[in-house]
Amino acid sequence: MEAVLHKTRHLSLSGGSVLFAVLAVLLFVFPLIRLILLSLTAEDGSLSAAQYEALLQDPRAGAAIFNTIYISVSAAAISAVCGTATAFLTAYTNIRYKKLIEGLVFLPFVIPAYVMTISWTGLTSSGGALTMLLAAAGLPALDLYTPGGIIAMLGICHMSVVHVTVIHRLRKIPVEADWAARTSGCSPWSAVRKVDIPMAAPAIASGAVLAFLADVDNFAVPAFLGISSNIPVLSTYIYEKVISFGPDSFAYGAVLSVVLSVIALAGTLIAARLGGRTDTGEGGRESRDVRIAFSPAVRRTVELATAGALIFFSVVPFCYMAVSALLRTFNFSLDPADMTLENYAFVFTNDGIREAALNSLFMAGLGTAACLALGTVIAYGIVRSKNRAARFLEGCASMTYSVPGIVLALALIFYWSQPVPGVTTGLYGSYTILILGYATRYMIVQIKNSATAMASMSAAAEEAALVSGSSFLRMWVKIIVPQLAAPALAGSFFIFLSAFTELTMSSVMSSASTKTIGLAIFNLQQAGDYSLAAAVSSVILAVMILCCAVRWAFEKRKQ
Amino acid sequence: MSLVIDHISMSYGKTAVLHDISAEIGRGEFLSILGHSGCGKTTLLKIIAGFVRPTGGRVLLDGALYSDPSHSVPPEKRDMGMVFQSFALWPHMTIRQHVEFPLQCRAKDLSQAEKDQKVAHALEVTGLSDLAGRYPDELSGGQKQRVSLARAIVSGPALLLMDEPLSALDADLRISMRKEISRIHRLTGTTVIFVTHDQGEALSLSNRIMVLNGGRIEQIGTPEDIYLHPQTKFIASFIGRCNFVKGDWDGDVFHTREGKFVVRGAAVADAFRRDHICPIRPEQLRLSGEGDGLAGVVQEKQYNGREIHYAVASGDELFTVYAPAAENYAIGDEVYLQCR
Repeated sequence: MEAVLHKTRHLSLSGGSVLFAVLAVLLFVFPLIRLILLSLTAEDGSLSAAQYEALLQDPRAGAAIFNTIYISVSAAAISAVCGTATAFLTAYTNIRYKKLIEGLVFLPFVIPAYVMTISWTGLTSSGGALTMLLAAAGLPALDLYTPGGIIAMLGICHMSVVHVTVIHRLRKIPVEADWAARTSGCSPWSAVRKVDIPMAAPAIASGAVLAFLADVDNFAVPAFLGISSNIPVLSTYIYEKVISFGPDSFAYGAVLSVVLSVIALAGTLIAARLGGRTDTGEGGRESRDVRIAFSPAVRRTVELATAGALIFFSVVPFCYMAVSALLRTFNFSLDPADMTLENYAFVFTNDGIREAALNSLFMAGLGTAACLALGTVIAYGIVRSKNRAARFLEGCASMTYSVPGIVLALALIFYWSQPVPGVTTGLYGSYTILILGYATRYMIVQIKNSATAMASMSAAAEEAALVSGSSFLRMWVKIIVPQLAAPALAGSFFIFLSAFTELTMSSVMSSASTKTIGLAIFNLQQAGDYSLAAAVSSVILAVMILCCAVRWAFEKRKQ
Repeated sequence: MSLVIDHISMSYGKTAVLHDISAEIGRGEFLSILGHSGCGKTTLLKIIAGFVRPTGGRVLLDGALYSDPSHSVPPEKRDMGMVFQSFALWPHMTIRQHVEFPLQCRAKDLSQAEKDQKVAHALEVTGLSDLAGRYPDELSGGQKQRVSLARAIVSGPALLLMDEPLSALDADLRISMRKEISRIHRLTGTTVIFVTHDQGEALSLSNRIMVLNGGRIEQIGTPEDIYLHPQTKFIASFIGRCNFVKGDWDGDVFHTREGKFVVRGAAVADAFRRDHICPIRPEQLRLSGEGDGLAGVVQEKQYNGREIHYAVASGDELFTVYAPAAENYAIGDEVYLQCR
């Protein structure tokens, strides 16, 4: 009897393993292999490196590669300096309002990059408030449609990536390391310079590499600022190639994607090396002792300067955008005579916008649901069954999260329109391909989230239910789901917001009838309708703030 | 006097951590601050080091005011070195760089040759000369603590502060490091303030011990003084084991109510006389099979090689007795307790 039980359990386990392995290969691995194969395929279907030769002949590709590296490295440097500074101030000094400052650091990361970019282009446009202020001070206007503008935008957007990496490392450096330097005759600032900064250096470097990866991946910022001013980077160049529908455009896009992935992979490898080194310190406890105590006057100045700069970068532009969407003209004014509600009315009455919003809602919703269901089952396989196929799937899913979004989008288009050579599915241009895209992209987020939640639950409770005669399904419904719901939904919340507001994947995957809200804003901006783009962005921002507020209130009530 | 602690008190908000602590520590003296966790010993050390400003009182070193409630010389300007329980080494520096560090900060006017000579000396004293090129993660716990020690003494500070330096080490290593610390103290002649919760360390290393309890000085004196002449019941039971025999004092003579147990104790503190008890160390008691003394029954017995530890029940009380291994009694034996 016992042997039979053991055998069925073993059989069902291996059935699960086969399912996980097949899913991993079909959903996550094949699309990427397909992309590489396509880049090596000639028009007649034979294997050839002709597209790579074309790449070498193409000066625009050279410019795009150079711009990608140059812009991403510079932006990562800005993120590293700013993120390290905010991390240092919050971790080591006695400034107040630390929660507020951290919130302001994260804001540009949470809010879609294109909303951030639109808000800044408004401030710096020829009739924008900042331009007028600068002109009054006798200074030239800021032109964001330059490499410098793209670098600044990306630098601000990804500063929080460095901040998070560095702040944990800084807090993990024991306060005694500083004290030992102080009792050796070192001033507080030289202790920071000679002890803390070198000890945090690997974390600063790996934070900078993560910011670099985010910069390489980013499509919205170079698309909004670089396409009209002819500054190609790889992500926008791939986009241009794909939407041009030329004879070799897809195959050439695949070649560019491989190049972009190689750049990202190089970054990932460096990050992994640095990440491994970050753990050399004593103990894992985080200390919140004050290591640099400012005098009250200096402290006030630092608080004002930090919060002021952050508010200027990431709150003022949004407020300005919301207000300027009320204006009839491009010149900033607060005169009620110049104001109109037409732009906001457009958001709620225009069929195109409504359809795009509903599309995004529908596709992001289904994509999130797919992630939640499959991701949680995979997490169960990883945590409870210690299933190696589930682990393999996790690795594959993290691959599709770390390749640049535009590359994944392209790979999925090739793969799903023709999964097997000769079989055409007609999925390209449908809702399904975008939903599949979101599920492939964000699956790893849900796996990690559910796995973390599951690891903190007691396996004994599940075993007890099974031992008491409950079926496996009943055990899930009665034991696992109630415990897992809240933490797993927190992961889904992040996935939904990301998918709802994303632009990168839909820029190449959407057809006229499956346009997303991000794409709608992009098209408005490309057409020069700043006020309309600003109005739609403001409404999106309001919806996001509302979502976060609801979630916050929900969590507050639970406590 | 080297270090003067003058009526120091400390409170965080309404919680008082230290009450009116005063002591004068002579040049070259080794003072242990001993107490349970939460007794305020670490706070007192942080005040001496300059990391915490006291809410009352003063700290002076060689006549210079270091701390009072309105003024505090920062730690880097104090003539001291410090050793930490967690070693507090810097993973990105070699052992030599650790030891050079204080000289770079403090002894800027020294020539390179003089600095090199001081570093070499500190490394030699701590037995680290062969490890100078290594990084902290290549060292054992004991070696790490030697690095911390070498770093603290290299600039020849007037004061050496040690915060539970042996607590993070293995039991065996703790004993051998005691000897090391003792030797280095003799060699350098520095004034040492040594914070510990381990009475064995305090007794074996110190010239004097300050015992803190609830933020107050319970007793301060030489190790012999503290062990042989405890002033309070807390000290008697905290430092070594102690039996408290109930009875009455008649001048310098103590006897139990029935008069079976008599001690001549001229040096016993008044606190015990007031409480009608007499502190008796386990080794001060003697067991005999017959005759005078308190009657009792052997409850437990632990053979220890050199001696045997007995627990003897007499009435409601349980007495601890350390007897030479030759005086062997079995569990259940009726015995009589006397003072040696």
